[in-house]
Amino acid sequence: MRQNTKLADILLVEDNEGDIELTKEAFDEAKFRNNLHIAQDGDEALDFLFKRNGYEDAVMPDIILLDLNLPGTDGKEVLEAIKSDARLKRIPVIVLTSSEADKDIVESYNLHANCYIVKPVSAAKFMKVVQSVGNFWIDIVCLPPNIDES
Amino acid sequence: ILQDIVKFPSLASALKSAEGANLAVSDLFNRVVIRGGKGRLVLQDIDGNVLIQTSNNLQGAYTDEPPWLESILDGSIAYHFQILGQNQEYFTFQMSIPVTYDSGIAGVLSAEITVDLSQILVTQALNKNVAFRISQEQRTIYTEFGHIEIAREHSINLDSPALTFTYITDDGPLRAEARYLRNTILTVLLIGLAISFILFALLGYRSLVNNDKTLKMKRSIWLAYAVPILVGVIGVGASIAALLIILNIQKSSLELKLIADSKATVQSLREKVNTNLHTLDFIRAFYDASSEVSRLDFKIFSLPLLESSQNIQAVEWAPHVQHNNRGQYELQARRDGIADFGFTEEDKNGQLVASKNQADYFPVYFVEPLIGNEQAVGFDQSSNDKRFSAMLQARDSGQKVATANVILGQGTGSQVGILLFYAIYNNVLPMVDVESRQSQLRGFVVLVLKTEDMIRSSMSYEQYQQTMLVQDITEANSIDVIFGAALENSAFSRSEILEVAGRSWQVTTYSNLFQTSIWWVSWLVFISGIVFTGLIVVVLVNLIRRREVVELLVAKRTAELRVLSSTVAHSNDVFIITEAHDLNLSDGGPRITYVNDAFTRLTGYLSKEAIGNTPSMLQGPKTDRNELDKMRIALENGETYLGEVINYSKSGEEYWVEVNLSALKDIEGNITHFAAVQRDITGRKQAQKEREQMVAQLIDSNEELERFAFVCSHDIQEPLRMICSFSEKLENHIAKTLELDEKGAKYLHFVTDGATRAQVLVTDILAYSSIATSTQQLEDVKVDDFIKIIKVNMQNSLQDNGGCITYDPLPTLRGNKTQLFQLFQNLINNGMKYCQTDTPPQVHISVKDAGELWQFAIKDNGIGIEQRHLKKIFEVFQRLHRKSQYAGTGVGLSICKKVVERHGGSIWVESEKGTGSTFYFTLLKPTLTEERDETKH
Repeated sequence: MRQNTKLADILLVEDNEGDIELTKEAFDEAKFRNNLHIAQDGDEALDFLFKRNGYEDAVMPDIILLDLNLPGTDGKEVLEAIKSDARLKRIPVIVLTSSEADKDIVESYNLHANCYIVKPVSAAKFMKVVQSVGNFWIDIVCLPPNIDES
Repeated sequence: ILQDIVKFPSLASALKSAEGANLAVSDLFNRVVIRGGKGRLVLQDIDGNVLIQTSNNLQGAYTDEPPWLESILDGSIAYHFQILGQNQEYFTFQMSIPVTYDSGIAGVLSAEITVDLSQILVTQALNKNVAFRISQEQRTIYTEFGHIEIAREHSINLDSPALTFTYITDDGPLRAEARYLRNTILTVLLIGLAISFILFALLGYRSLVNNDKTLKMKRSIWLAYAVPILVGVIGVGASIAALLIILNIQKSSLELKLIADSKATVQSLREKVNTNLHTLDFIRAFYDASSEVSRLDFKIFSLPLLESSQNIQAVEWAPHVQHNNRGQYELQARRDGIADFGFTEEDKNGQLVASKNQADYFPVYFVEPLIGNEQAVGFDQSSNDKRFSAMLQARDSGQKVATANVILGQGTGSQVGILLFYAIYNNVLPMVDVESRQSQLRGFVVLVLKTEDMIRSSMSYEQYQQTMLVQDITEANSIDVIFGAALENSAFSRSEILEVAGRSWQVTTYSNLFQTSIWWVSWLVFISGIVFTGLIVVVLVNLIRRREVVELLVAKRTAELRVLSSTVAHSNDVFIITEAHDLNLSDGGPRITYVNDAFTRLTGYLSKEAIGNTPSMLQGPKTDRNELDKMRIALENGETYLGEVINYSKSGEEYWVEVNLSALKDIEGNITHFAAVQRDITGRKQAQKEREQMVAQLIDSNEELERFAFVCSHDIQEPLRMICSFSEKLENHIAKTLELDEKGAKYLHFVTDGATRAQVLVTDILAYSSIATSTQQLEDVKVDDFIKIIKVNMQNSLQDNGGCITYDPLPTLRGNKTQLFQLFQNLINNGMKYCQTDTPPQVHISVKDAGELWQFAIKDNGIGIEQRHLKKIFEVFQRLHRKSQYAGTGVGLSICKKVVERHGGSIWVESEKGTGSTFYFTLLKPTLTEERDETKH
């Protein structure tokens, strides 16, 4: 399969270092080849995506894992910015957060989040969820052609 | 008649012998019939003794030497005339004349004559409304003038006898006619003007001006104003007709007057002529009575006659002289004292020359007065054709005959006049045939009349300025102007023929006086008619105009109403209009007369279901009765009601409406209808309810949070401390292993770090939630002291980073000391914490008096905040930075906000990224804080 041979670029937007660690490990163990990029707050994520403020050479990620609880520009604002952009809105955004509030879920989907996942408390489950997400969005789903290449 | 009598020789002889009882004379007297009655005659001798009297009922005074008798006897008057009295239409006068004998006066014959006035005053027949009055001294006779309403008198005064002859015409009918006419006109005018002014006042001026410029006339002006135009044309026509008619009436009225005046003038002239003609009678009688008349006799006799008339130029005696007697006559005249007397005639050049020899002459032998008539003496009258023809006519007819107009040779200037000839015959007895008259001709007495003077004097009493023309029209082919001239283009003229001794005079009077008089009346009528018409037209135009204005106004209002009603009909608000009477709510209230479409949409009732029904159809169990009462009271007081009630639709569904009720009034202020505007506020009510629920939920969650914080403070701290303590112990325990196991060390670090953060978080949450529940007493706090303490606390870090804290003099506050300290500490800490890496932090605290509040400002020179984050920084757990950059839980500013709000103030921030931030907050001044606190409790 073409996806297996391809290197998947994943952007993780997360401020919690523990979660970053867990996510990293999860993707290290993943079956597909991936390249995990990390943005620790909303502004950094937008800089990465819009290739500015030192991220001019950043690659366009295939999927985005987005935490909602971010310092400064929060996850919803980042989501809104992505989905308002004609090119970026094609990129699947997986909301990965510790909030179980209905309000957050509804608002995220209203902002066209592609899916909403609550972080499991257990590390094993967390890693499994992350890997499942990876498998699903990288292996199974047909993604749009890379924006930079198209 | 008297003159006939005095010719009888027996009378003279009787007087001479003073034989009173002369039978011949008595017999003569007894046979004398005067005016159809027996004559009453009196004969007196020169001593005044009455010799004969035929009646004993004499009215005159004859004896005792009355003055008139003396005057007759001494020759100073030719006759005596005395009015004696009047009995009805008959009047009696005395006439006395001298009886002459041999050039001397032998006695006086008097007659008392009673005559019918109408017979002597022939002019009475002229006009029915004419009366006469003749006065002599105190005595007056008059015709009946009871039928005269308004007398207008024309008087002629005669000198000898001294009589005043008054001619009275009646002005009554004319004046009455004029008065009637004037009164009628004025009445009509006044009524017309009054009516028009009333009309004008009632209808006219109020709507003369239409100020509404938006109204434009649509109909044709000519069509709309046909009636007033017609009225105007008719009115003007009628006014002109009235003017013409009245002018005509006035003209004919004036004409009647002028005719009357003309008649009077002619009559006056006629009487003048007759009077003068009468003079000839006297002279003829004188000659008839005397076989021989001397120059002196003629002078004596004619003198009184001349005195009595102003118009006589001369009286003359022209005897018939045969050629063989010419010398004798001329000689006698010279003997009488007239030097160079000779018979003369005019030559072709009009010069007087001695008469050529001829068979017969008729020279002017005697002439009186001589002075002024010298040229006439000796002039052969027969030498002039005009005169001769008149003389022949006079001779043959025995009548007085006038000449045509002649130039009088005598007198000053060349005056125009006429000559009157009266033939004297040798035989006194009446002659019946022309032949005997021709054979017996003795001569002519001649009267020279100054016609101009005579005619002018006859006009003396005329009222109106008349022009008079007298023409001699006896000979149709040669008409002579005797007097005056025709008035060209005269408005009035009238002619009458006057017979003057065998000649026909045409007397024409002219007048131009139609322009004067009372013409203003007719013009007033005309102008009033025009004004009246104008007013009527104005009123009519106004009425039409007003009708049009009203129509247009109606159309305009209708259009406006259509817009309004369309607005109402299609409004989303419900409109309900009800009758105003019957406010009895127990009966359901007033009847509905109108509902709009929105009504049907909202209630489900069709408008036909609603109309006639009452608004109570919309009310139900949940409808607030108190609100209904309020509505009723408001409507009863004519006030507006605004409120909210629950209504029910046809299907029984309940809904909230906001009701705006108002009364509709007519022009007079009577309330005729009620209008209700209802707006469906069910949605608003729903939203309000939801909001209330949310607020309740919020309060619940806050309470939960506080409970949670309480739990945290006691129960969660414990396990967290366990994690911290034992992970620390574990770390020490497996320290050697961890040196090799990098991953393990990292994991352990996450554990320790997480637990520590949880502890801080719990502490902060506790601090935050305890603000609301604090029961600490209010106390005065000096902010300066706070700053000092904070500075001391931060001394180490200040020394490390070289930062400094400055402050202005700060006030004393009253409040929760712990919380206020926390407020200042958090803000100053923030200022220090979010500092630029290369610049020592500086924080400055200042304060400003803002009335009831103190406004504090804490300014730093730190990293600043992006504008888009300014709002969220006061929210709980909101952070702008990663933990790796600036540590913290995101609770500090939330605490500040809560503290400020609890102390009655507010907090906000102004910032510029990279330059620094200024946190502002307000706090109530101490006294106000106290008051606020008290009211709270």
